[in-house]
Amino acid sequence: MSSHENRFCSVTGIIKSINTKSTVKGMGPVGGYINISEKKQKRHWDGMIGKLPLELQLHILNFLPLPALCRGKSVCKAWKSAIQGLGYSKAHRFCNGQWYIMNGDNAVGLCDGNSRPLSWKMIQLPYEIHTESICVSSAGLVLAYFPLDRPQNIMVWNPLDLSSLVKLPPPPGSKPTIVFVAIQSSVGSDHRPWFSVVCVRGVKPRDTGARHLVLQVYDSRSQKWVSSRRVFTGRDEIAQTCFKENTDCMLLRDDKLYFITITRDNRRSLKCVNVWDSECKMATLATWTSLPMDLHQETYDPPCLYNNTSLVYCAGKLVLANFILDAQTLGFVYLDEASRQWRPLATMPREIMPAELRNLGLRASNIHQWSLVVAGGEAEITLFLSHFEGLCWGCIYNDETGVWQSVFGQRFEGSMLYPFKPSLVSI
Amino acid sequence: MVKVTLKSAEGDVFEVDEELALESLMVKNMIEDVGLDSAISLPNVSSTILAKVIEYIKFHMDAQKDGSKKTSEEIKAFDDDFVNVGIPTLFEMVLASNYLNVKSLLSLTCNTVANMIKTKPPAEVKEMFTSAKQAKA
Repeated sequence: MSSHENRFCSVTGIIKSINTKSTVKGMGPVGGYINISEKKQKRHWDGMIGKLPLELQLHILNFLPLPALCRGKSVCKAWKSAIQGLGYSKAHRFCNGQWYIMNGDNAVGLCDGNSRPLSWKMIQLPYEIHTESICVSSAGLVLAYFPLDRPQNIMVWNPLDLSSLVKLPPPPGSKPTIVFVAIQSSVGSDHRPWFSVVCVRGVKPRDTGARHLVLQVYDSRSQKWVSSRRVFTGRDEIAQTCFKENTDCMLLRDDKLYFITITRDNRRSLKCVNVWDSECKMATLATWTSLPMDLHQETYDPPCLYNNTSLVYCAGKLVLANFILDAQTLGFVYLDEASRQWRPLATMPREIMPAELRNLGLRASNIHQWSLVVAGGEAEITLFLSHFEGLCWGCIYNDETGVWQSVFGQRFEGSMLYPFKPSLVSI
Repeated sequence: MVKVTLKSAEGDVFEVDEELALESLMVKNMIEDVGLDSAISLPNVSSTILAKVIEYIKFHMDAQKDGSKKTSEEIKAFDDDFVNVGIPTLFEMVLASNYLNVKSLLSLTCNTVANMIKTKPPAEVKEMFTSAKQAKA
């Protein structure tokens, strides 16, 4: 058939001819390309992506999931700058939704909160270690985890880019009486992100708390622990620390460390201290003897071993999470900064708790069998409730919608979820 | 029904329904500019690719019509099969759908390319670029 005869042909005609070609020769509609060897075909593919105009290459990047996008930065300069620009908008897109990170054995789980149902991808860590606790920086870009009995294992990385993992030197000091570790990140003048890790040790620790605190600050710009300062509590009060469910009754937000002190007559105060302040001057934000919603709080005197008070930051509010023993559930109050009073925020509806957990009961007599881990996000508070018999359950509260969402049943081998906002910026 | 005549790079002529041709925003603009009398010349699109694009638009137009019995599984199966082509063809389709401005096809093809990239380790993607440069040189 000469090309002239072929000049005018119907659409179906051409499609038919392509289809016949593919069935007869046993290859795709591409014809000639199929016969080339695999190696040659690979080279073809190599050439092709480079031949696409940059604008289309970048359009393709839009379809990549965040972890792959992060890897794409090392491909070429054009991609790197494009992805970093894109990264902000893409991360911005996730602001409405949420990402979660979960601790585990030698691994962390990553989950896009927009997926329904939540699906997890476990990422193996290069160190054999159980991630005891996780803390996410405000920019969501770096994250520290640390088993408290091994203080040398403080690590920071971008969860989307494992190659960015930084292992911190152990904080100076002899005994690992560490009661709290947290991270903050910020973008410096040269547009490079940096982070600081704050490690709090208890001095003269007892079951209820510690007499004084020592604040140690690590600065990623100088890559060392830059300061170690003492924070003295009042004469007859102690700073609350939870040796069992560490990290929860203190909070690092921006450059301030928030913590709770308790006096012998059971008067509590919420204090804060600027971690960069050389004098470590303490400010009192609120004082209270009882909390609204009948939130359970243990007294200064023992047993007080199982204090489950958790201080988290969510949607611009300082939130205190705790058990409500009378109602056998748990609830949140937030600090109204003008009146310096705690106000009710939300109570968990008891029905959403799995029946097996509900039946165990939550009373003052068995409160030591329970543990509660809480973490705050942009608009969400996640919590993880577990009973010493091995039952556990995770739940997410959204502050904007007021909806409580059960994440997994007690049979799920899950653990605490920490909300975070992904970012492509490398450390 | 009004027909539109499209002319591929090789000079092959395709006669399609106007409704179908308007799915390409580029062709739509051309029709508004020059009218329906003369053939619309598409020098950047080969006959093979143009036929594929027309096949894609036709299938999706039929699927969207009332009374269409096509299930979403069938549509997905068609799409999967449609992009299951050699990489050179896939890239030509990315270029053509961008040139012809067919949004849905551009998304489909770009997503396919992204799926290929996302499973590759960074070194391999990097290699794709360096060897592409070598090929040029």
